[in-house]
Amino acid sequence: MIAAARKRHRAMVLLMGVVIPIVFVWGIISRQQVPILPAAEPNQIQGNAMGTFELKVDDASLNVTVYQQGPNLQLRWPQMQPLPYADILVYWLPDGDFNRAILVGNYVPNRQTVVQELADVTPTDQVELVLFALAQQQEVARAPFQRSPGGAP
Amino acid sequence: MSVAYQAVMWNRQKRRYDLTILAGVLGYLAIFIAFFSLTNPNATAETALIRGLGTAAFFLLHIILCIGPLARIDKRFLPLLYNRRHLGVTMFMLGLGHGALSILQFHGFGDLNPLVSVFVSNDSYDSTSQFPFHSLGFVALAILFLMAATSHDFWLANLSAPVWKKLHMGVYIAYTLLVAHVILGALQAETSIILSGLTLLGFLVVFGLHFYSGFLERRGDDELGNQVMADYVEVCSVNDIKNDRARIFTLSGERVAVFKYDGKISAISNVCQHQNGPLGEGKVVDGCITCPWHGYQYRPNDGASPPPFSEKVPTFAVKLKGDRIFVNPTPHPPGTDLPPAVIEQAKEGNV
Repeated sequence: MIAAARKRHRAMVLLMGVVIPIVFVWGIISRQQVPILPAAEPNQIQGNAMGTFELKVDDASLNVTVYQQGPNLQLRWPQMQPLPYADILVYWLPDGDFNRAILVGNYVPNRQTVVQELADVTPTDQVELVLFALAQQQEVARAPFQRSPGGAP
Repeated sequence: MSVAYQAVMWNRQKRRYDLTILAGVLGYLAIFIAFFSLTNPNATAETALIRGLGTAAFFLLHIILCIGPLARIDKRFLPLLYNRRHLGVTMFMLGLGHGALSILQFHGFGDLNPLVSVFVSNDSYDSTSQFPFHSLGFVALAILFLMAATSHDFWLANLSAPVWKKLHMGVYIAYTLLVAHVILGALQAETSIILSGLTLLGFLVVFGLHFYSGFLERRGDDELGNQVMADYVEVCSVNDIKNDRARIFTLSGERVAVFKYDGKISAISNVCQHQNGPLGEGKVVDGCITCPWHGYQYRPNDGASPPPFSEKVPTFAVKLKGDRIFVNPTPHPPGTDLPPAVIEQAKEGNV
């Protein structure tokens, strides 16, 4: 009887020895980099304002300004106020399609002006900015890009 | 041994063991949370606690899985095995804290039942990088719960040792699920080679120790091709066994422990009735064979525990021819009293 238990034990350990390396290699090879973009210092803002996103979260209003910075864009956030949602992520939607969304970064309340940089994107009239609460799995706010009068194309 | 059940039969060693576990867990959590807060200043306290509890449980599971093979390889690790169940319950509690906080944070604020949400809120079961890894952790936690809930001797006695052992072998399934939970979860976002390397190292240590101890055991399991005398199999010389100790032989597929004590030789099953510990690796204390794992005792001649205890193991008939020991591989029913073979002084040598 104990011999059968020992055989079962050996089989379990050997199975574990086969399955875990496969899962490990499979998981490491297929992982994707999450594009968390670095925040820049507010005093690095240069260039012209191209337009804004007017995000409305419940009663709060957030005006995010878009600046051209060489080939990149900068999103300038006003003082970030607390919102009644947890773990909010900011997405840039090139044409309103979430499947092509670019993760800009996370929304950190109680911060002074924050600037987030975006490379190789063009603010067309179809672009939208979305706040998504990870904890609630809920879209918190969405706003289209509004070009400033005289803003660069 | 036990004739009645108590929640925990405390003794000095168990108190020291548990205090060491408590201090280790609290120290780890304090260091982890402090380090995590310094390196992730934007992270919330809940996130720090979730990760601290999760890594503590995962690390402790590695230690638990290493204790068994380490104790087989080197007897100095036996004290760790003595109270391993307390480590297991502690690990489950840490995992439960990690799971409960995670479910609350990630699934507790939606319309769905949080436990349903674990399995259906993310249905990318065909994706690797977005696999719903929470479900893997939940299933592993359910297995660990069954093990923790049945860890007491009450369940061991009522389920019987073979069933209990089968149930507790689920730890390997739980470990495999948890490694997958970590790889498809935390390691998808945390791309540091240190974290991947530590996960891989942990698995290699656990598997390597099991493989090595299994190799040593299998070598000892080779059947004896020795002389047979009227159904008795020659196993070794009297001088090959130290006083109050045993040697283990595999006869008819099962292990038999042949003990030398008080100038006599007796053979009993190597399998302790408590948790199937290796009796042949124990020693004779106060006239009783004492299991090295948890101290259960059996008389060498009849394989029965001394009163008031009731555990019994099978016994085997033994004969001596000169200084050679012969054992009949047919087991007698547990508790059968068989006369030991008496060693004549002249034959014993200087052991």
